[in-house]
Amino acid sequence: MPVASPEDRGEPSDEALVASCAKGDHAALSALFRRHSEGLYAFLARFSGVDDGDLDDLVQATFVSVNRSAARFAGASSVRTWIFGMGANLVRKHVRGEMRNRSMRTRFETVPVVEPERPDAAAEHRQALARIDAALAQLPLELREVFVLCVIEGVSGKEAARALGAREGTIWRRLHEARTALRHAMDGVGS
Amino acid sequence: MIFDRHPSPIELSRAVSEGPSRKVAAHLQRCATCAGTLAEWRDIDSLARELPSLRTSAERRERALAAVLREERTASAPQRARPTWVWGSLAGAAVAALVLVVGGSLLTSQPAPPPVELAQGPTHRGTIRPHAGARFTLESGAPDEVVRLHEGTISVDVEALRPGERFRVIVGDGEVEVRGTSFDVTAMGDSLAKVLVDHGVVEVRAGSRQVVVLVDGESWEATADRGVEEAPIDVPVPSPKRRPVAGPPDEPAPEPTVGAASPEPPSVDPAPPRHPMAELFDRGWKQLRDGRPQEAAQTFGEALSKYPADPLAEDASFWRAVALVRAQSSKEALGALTSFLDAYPKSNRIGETSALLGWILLGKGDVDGAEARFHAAEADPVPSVRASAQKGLEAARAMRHNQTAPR
Repeated sequence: MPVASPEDRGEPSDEALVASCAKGDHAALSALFRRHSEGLYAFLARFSGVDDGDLDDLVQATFVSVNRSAARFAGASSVRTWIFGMGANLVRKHVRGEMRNRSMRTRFETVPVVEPERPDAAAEHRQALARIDAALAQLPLELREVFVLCVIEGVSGKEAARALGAREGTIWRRLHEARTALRHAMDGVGS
Repeated sequence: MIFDRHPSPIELSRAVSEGPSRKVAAHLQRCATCAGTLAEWRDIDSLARELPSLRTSAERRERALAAVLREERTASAPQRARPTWVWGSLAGAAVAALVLVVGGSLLTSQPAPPPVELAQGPTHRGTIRPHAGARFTLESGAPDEVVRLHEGTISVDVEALRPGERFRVIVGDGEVEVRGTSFDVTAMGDSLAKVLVDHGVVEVRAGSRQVVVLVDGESWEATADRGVEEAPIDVPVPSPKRRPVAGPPDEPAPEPTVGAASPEPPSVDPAPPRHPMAELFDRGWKQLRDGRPQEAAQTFGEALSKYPADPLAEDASFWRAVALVRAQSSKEALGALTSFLDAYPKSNRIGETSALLGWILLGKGDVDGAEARFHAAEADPVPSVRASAQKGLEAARAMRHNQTAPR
């Protein structure tokens, strides 16, 4: 079903709101926040090492960054992807601080895998979801952020590269590694 | 033209996300291995897209927005000169005349009262100007500074708070939380009546109504925002009746601050006659705070059996349940918490009670029951309750996982 754009609804576009933020318009910042914060919460919640208590801080810090970087927004990606990219950068710093002394690899190899108990399809599907959820949570951060952004949020490789400050080829390589790791986790390899 | 080699991982990965190029598509038609990998990855992608997204309440997002705006206003606004009456209150010998040192006692302002600051003891970030006839207490200092307003209007000026610090004005049925701001709060009959923001950002939480965020020059009035709230309950005496967004259940009330010794006791309102229910309630609460939860549970129980229709019955019922939890009488606590949820389904303590009940059920191995209770507390407006519910859900998931994991 087609979704009306803000312009169709007579509202300013994301780009116009960012331009207003650059001029110190807090009403524009509020509008931008209300448009994208729900998605940002959901996006950031997919990163392990970010607990519920951290989420509010990360969302707030992201929008503070958005406001302060608004003048530098060049339109290379959509505003939503630009915001998510800033959030991902903050998560990277946050998680690296949290996980400095932990071995993600070790944790990944010790992910317990739930064996199916009931043969019916619904139960198997639920277990598959639980398994991919656990496996996704254990992916190294740089793979997880690319997978979440490109696969779950539907951002193009080109946009993801701009948002995350990486080359497009790097994005595809990381996506390949993420999918391979997830497939192995689903197959029980390494468990 | 077709590939005479398998596509590279980068080409294959891109093909999954954005569709295969003509060359890759041609290769896939004749290479079962690559086609199989592509199909597997598509399955992984579609499964991942089914994962539930975190859903946040509009209220939580509004709070986050308020924090962003506070941050940006603080960053961009020039430092506001402190009112002269504050500087006056800090000047030498005049301090003694202007500073009232109070404990948890009730203050009643006289006409044209001076600002109130604490000279010693706990750190205070706020300075209060009581209007004529205002009655309030300074309950605690930083980092969780609480002013309890019973009646009348106070003007409050809060200096910039440090990370983790809070400043709240609590009225019988609501509270106002601020950071680095200046505002007036009015209470009538121990009920939040009006809030007027001079500058800064203020959150108003009035009973079960929606949280309202006010900025410079904005005001809120109870009469204009009835929402779904019933008429305010008329409580005859100032009491710790409600703590709408107070901390977790293991912290029943902010301890009143005991200030430095004062040669003169603070002026106190002539105490109206105490209702026996209020006496019992206060006794129970004191027993709970003194670490005697079993006695507290009995006292709250006595209060409930004697005055089941009293306006304090809801709170007595809640605190009886909390006392039983603390007394580790889990069976009785289970019954008391369940009774509370049944008796007061519109209470603003539903989330807190549900979370407590969830933990008890989890302790008994009832994972389904516990999860249902934690879900009921997930969207509670109090962050500590939400956090408890979230931890509870994680614990329930872990327990379920351990139950189903191969041995």
